[in-house]
Amino acid sequence: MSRFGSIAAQIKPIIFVVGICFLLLLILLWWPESRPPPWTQAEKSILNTLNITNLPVLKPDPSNAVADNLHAAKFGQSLFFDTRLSGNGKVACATCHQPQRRFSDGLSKAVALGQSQRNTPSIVGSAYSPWLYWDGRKDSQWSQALSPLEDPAEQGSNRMYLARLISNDSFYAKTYVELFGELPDFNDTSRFPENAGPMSYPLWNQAWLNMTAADQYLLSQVFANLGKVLAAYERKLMPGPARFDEYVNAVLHEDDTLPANELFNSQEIEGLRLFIGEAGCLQCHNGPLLSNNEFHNTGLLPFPGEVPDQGRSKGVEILKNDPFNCLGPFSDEMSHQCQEFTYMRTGSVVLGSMRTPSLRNLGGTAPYMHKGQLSTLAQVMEHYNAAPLALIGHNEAKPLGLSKKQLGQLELFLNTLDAPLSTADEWLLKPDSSTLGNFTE
Amino acid sequence: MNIMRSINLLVSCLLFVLYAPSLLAHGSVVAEGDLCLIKIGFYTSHFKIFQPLASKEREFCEDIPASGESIFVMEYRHQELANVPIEFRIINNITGKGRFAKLEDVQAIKDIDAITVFYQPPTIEPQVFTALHNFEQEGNFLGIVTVKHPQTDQYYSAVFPFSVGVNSWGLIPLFVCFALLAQLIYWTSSGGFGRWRIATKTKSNKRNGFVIKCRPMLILATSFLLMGASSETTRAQPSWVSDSGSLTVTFKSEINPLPINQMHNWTLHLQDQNGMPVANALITLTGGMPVHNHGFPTNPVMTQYLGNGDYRVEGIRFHMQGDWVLNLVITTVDFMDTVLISVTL
Repeated sequence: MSRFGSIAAQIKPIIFVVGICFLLLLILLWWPESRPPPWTQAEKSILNTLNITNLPVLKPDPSNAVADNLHAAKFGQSLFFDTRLSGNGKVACATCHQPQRRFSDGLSKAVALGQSQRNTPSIVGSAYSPWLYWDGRKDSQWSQALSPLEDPAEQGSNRMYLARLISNDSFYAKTYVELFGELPDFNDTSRFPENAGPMSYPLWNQAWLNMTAADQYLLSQVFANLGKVLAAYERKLMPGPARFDEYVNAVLHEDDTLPANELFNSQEIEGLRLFIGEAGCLQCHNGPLLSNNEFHNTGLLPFPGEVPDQGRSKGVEILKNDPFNCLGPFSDEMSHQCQEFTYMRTGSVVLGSMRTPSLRNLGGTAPYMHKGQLSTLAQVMEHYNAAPLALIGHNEAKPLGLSKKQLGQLELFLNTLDAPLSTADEWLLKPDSSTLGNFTE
Repeated sequence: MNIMRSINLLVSCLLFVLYAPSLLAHGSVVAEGDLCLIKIGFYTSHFKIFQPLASKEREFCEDIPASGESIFVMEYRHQELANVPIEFRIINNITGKGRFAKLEDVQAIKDIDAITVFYQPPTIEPQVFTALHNFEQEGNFLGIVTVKHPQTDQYYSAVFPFSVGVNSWGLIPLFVCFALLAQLIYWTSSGGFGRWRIATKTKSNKRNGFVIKCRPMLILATSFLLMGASSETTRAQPSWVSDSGSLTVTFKSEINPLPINQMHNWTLHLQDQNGMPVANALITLTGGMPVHNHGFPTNPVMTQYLGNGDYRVEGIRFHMQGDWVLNLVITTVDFMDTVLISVTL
């Protein structure tokens, strides 16, 4: 026994040294491989397409004559935060589109006067989208801004009440007249009742039907103009550069900026590699806003207690019949081009599809998807990895077969897209009533 | 070999037993391949039931495994269904005929409302029919879909019996257990266990052989991938010849290079074999991305003949990078021809 014991004691240090050497060798072999390979030229050019510095200058909105008017934007900002625009005096646009949450609300489905049908999307960068709402049932920001004002589940007001509110508020009335000319005189209660508006509570609806077509038109004109000043404000809400953009800049100009590897760790780099490659995310999430603003069916399960949402196929029909669409009488688009509207895709090909959201506002916008069905990004990754059958229509995504580790890398990468808005802070607050009317460029 | 044969036999028996219920589809819902069809008079539609809370996207043809929230979906095969009101009713199956209940049995019921558990009044659904019912209890039910004839006052009904949460397998699970047990006894008594042990010892050698066999395939696959990667860099050709060979088509985009996510217009130029412009043609456009199996995000339209063989096409938008195709159908008084234009963004 003692002889064996002494041999063992002699061998022990040898085993120890050999073991250490072996470990070092393993680390040496493994180490260079764990560093992500450099980006190829083709990959670099793809990265550049996602860079926020390549976000084009916002084109004018021909359907909204005051879209880029600063006074209109200030007016719109006041309206955006004004709870008087609601039926109970407690709900403003900002109730659901909260600045500190990237202009969404952190709920599965919005809660205002009632519960809305879908998840509150962020407004940030939405001026770039030809379509608004998850189902694209609106084709301009100004037209979109009108719906919640009259929706009984949202602000639950009516256009008659709103028009009178504007004409009775000195700042609103003054700015309105300056932008759009004289307001109609609403004092004649035989022509203009207290409350009136279509598709609302039965009494308001009846009051609306009792009005003459000419007065209805006058009222809808004022109503549309409120949407246009709200849109002038919303056009200012733009995403700012994120760590991702810094990284892309560093990769593209390796000589004169921070080394790229200090901006992204290897997990985030691998996540980005998956994003632009194997995971196929770029098919829909492309361009500097990481959205093609198109409609896709990705096989999400319906919200509990609801039938599957038909999405775009219904949105198209609503849009066609909307008096506030691009071709309608309240649009300022004089040439009647409205190409997006004219050439939109309709029918069963868009059944169950929803608009691709930008990925630049993920930070404050959970839960995700059109009904807020998925509460974390990890669940979103798993959903796309599985690409389940769609209950209606067909899921355009295909199963990815990625590992848990890879899904984690994708998620880490997505977090690098989060950044504060590039919009100046003064636009992100309820304007101080004492400064109303003081415009600074 | 003997074992293999008996396993084969067992598997085929099992398969038959497992699939037999769908072969025996009853009422107005019938199985057709992987799909379920419902026949409502002369109308037909795909039919499926989901229980998303319990079993996510799993599809059921008729019988559903448990009570709870259930969604009925009809995707029309007969497009006329998109224009007619569809009425849907679920009643307790009190006909006494069970799975063989028919429309006549339903018509014989005096007070149908008393046994109705779900009713959706007639509505027109242009794209897809959906209905949701939360089954509070398990049991046997009858689904009744009623549709009006598009012109006449004729009504058509489909009746399909289905069960909720009731074990519809009958004696099948017991049969499967017995069959498996019998097989196991036969196998061990005939020395199968010994042969299995010998077989596992040689398995590792086989596995090496598999890798070696696969290696050429791996190389082949890699070279395919490389070929795919290199094709990304090839640029679009300047002109395309029509399928009959008699036309040449070129295009000019008002934005170059071709943009993503931006609506824009093209000018198409058509010329014949002699290089002469082709005037007064009608051009229709369809297309998309064959690799991703989807069409254009828009409906591009030829809006104007500009003269000199030039045609204005409006409403083109590409929404992702990759290979796109446009199928042009060109019609004049003299001929009809087709051209496939492919562009890579």
